[in-house]
Amino acid sequence: MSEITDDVLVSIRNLRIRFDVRDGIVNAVDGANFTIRRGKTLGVIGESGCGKSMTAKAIMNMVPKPGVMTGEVTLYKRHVENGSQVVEEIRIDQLDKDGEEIRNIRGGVITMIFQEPMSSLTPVFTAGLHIMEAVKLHRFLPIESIGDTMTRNIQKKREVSPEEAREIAIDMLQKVGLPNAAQRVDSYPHQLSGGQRQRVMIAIALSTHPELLIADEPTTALDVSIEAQILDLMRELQETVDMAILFITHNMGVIAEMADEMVVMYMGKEVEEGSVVDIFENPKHPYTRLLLASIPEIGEKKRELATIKGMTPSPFNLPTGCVFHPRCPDFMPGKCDVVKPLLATVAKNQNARCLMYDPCWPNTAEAQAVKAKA
Amino acid sequence: MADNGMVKDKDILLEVKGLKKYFPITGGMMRKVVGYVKAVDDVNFFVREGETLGLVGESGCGKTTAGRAVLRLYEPTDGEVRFKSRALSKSGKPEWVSLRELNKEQLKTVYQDISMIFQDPIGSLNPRMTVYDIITEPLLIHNKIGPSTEEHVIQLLQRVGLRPEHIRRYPHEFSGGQRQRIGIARSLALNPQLIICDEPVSALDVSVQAQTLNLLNDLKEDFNLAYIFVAHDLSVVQHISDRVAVMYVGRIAEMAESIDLYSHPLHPYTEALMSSVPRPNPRLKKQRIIMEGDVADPGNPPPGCLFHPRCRYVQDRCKTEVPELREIKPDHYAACHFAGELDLKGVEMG
Ligand SMILES: Nc1ncnc2c1ncn2[C@@H]1O[C@H](COP(=O)(O)OP(=O)(O)OP(=O)(O)O)[C@@H](O)[C@H]1O
Ligand SMILES: Nc1ncnc2c1ncn2[C@@H]1O[C@H](COP(=O)(O)OP(=O)(O)OP(=O)(O)O)[C@@H](O)[C@H]1O
Ligand code: SF4
Ligand code: SF4
Ligand SMILES: [Mg+2]
Ligand SMILES: [Mg+2]
Repeated sequence: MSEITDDVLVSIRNLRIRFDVRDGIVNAVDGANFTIRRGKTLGVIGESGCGKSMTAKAIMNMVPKPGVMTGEVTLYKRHVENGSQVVEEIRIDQLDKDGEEIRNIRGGVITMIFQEPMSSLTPVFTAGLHIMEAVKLHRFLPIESIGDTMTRNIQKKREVSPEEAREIAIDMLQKVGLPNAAQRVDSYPHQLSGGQRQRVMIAIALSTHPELLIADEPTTALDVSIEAQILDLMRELQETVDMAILFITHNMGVIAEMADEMVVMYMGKEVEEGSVVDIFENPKHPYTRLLLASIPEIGEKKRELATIKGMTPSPFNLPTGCVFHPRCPDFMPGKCDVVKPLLATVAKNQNARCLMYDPCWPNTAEAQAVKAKA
Repeated sequence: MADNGMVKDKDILLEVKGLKKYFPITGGMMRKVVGYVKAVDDVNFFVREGETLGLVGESGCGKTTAGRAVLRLYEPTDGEVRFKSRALSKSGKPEWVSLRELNKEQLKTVYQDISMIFQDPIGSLNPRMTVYDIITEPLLIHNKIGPSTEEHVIQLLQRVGLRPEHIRRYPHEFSGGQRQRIGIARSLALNPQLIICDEPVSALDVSVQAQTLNLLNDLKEDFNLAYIFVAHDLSVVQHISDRVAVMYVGRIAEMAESIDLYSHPLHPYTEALMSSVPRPNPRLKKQRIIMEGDVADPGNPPPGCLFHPRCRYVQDRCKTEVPELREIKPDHYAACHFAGELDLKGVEMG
């Protein structure tokens, strides 16, 4: 899944994000690799604290201080030059964090729905102002189509007027299901419920028609019927403007419904990746299997939910070998606590980072040593 | 509500009657009050000792406001909130108090018995306080800091799946789900009798969520704790709750024992809600039923039954007459004119 083909929008290679804290170094992201494809949805799941939000922030070059990011984040941006379409390769990680270029990308080409709506809305701005600001900076309306149907994306565009911006704001708030949007457009964040704030965030992120929407737990505060409506809205926009979505969630139902491909993360790395159908029906990594088993299903009454034994290891004292080994039901002594597993192909278009599937393992020096001992 | 004898029960811990909270809507240059958002409008429910009452309903229907109004973090516009308090009693035996009649000092004392886990973990944690300070703040307020406090905090952290060394860190150094767990640990600090949990597991991944739900269940058993559990994930709510109340635009639409409510809903809104649950199966893509019509605006609610513009079973009567919350079957309340007469579909119970 790593070749750079025409449909790749963002490629993340060997991403690492570290924090120096008082007790040592936290590797919040520890060598992650992702590929986001145009017009597709990539779902990301994984234990709380495994680095999902940090990865998302890295794509916008917004890793908070004192975090240090290394690795490559490349955006393949399409645009029109002399009437024909070209793809420009932009190394996001090398851009100045406060520079003009990244600011044009953020909020325009790539938008993000943050996990905690209250901390990302400005308390003194109304819901409408937030959207209008974004739209004025980043949304362009077509003047005339200059391509044929094959290249319908090639259009001449102009900026929106303040009146149009307000109209777009009200329209977006309506689309995310805010009752009485024409009046609610003037509400301040503290006057809105948790889910309404989250929907304002969603409206901001969608209002500029981004090429990539990063949705970090976008529906956690929403009830199921509004959630369904919002997911529909995202899919609709995905079709009309060919938007890609990076969808971070812990809700397996939502992943199943939205994503084409998915990545399972554990301790800053992907441990399994593949199509959603394959992973749900045939999970290979022990961690993925356990995750899928701990979902409470509606209609069943279980007293004790299945959990994964133990907790995530201390970042200052990582287990040797496979970082999952102290919690793994398939732990193989002398092997899993010695060798770091690599991502191995386990089925067509499905990879897992687990020694059970690593074809190289029998040939490694460690394996020979274990065999010799036995 | 009609006198339906809800509170004959001697096990009742909290009883809420006719609770209202209106927020003014201001408009124009002078910021004049032009109307009210009826966020909570005549809400009635009760919680028994050691019981979990799930509270579900559409975003913006008033769940947070109701929880805050119970605790008087928002001063209610009207209504009665009675609570059997341990902390306020001099005899040692729990005593009934009316929360709305308490003065500031007494209210502070009652907060030893009732705590709240707030919905927005980052907004409710002070960024300048360490985890230790955040968790011990309730202890400090009640002069309960002692030599064993640090130990106590470490135990709390471990119970919610955080590590001892996290004690000196600041909220921004945590992920969303980790912050949510700090809030849970804090709510447990004073050994309360009732915790109002506002979306306590929404930011947790399924395995930590399962751990946390198991933890809340264990605590309930160990300390006879009661919860009001606000969440929008209906499978989580079903799993954790003894009874469930469904809210719609500031009112309770239905309230019943959890399995009864899920398998035999009596209110059309509950039926619609159940049908829109996402299932963890990628082959069932896009099969959710989306409710027709818009959510009612609590600033301008429709007349009659609030749900009538979206209800599949609407009759003329529904457009003018407000349905009262009635006890249709023992311990099963619904606010629909035709509750019990309609053939509604619930969730199949395995
Ligand atoms: N400022 C910081 N200092 C130290 N560690 C940090 C800091 N910010 C984040 N971390 C750590 O980085 C790790 C990854 O955080 P991130 O927010 O990406 O997690 P996440 O996968 O999004 O989790 P969740 O599902 O709970 O939101 C966490 O373990 C967190 O403790
Ligand atoms: N301070 C306020 N001023 C004006 N209106 C408010 C205020 N707080 C809440 N509201 C409105 O009251 C209604 C109920 O809000 P509340 O926060 O109780 O909803 P909720 O059920 O908790 O929703 P969610 O599931 O989205 O958190 C909403 O329509 C909201 O916009
Ligand atoms: S490598 Fe070993 S410990 Fe790690 S996931 Fe695979 S079986 Fe489990
Ligand atoms: S009262 Fe009428 S409109 Fe309201 S839920 Fe019942 S049938 Fe539907
Ligand atoms: Mg996160
Ligand atoms: Mg709320």
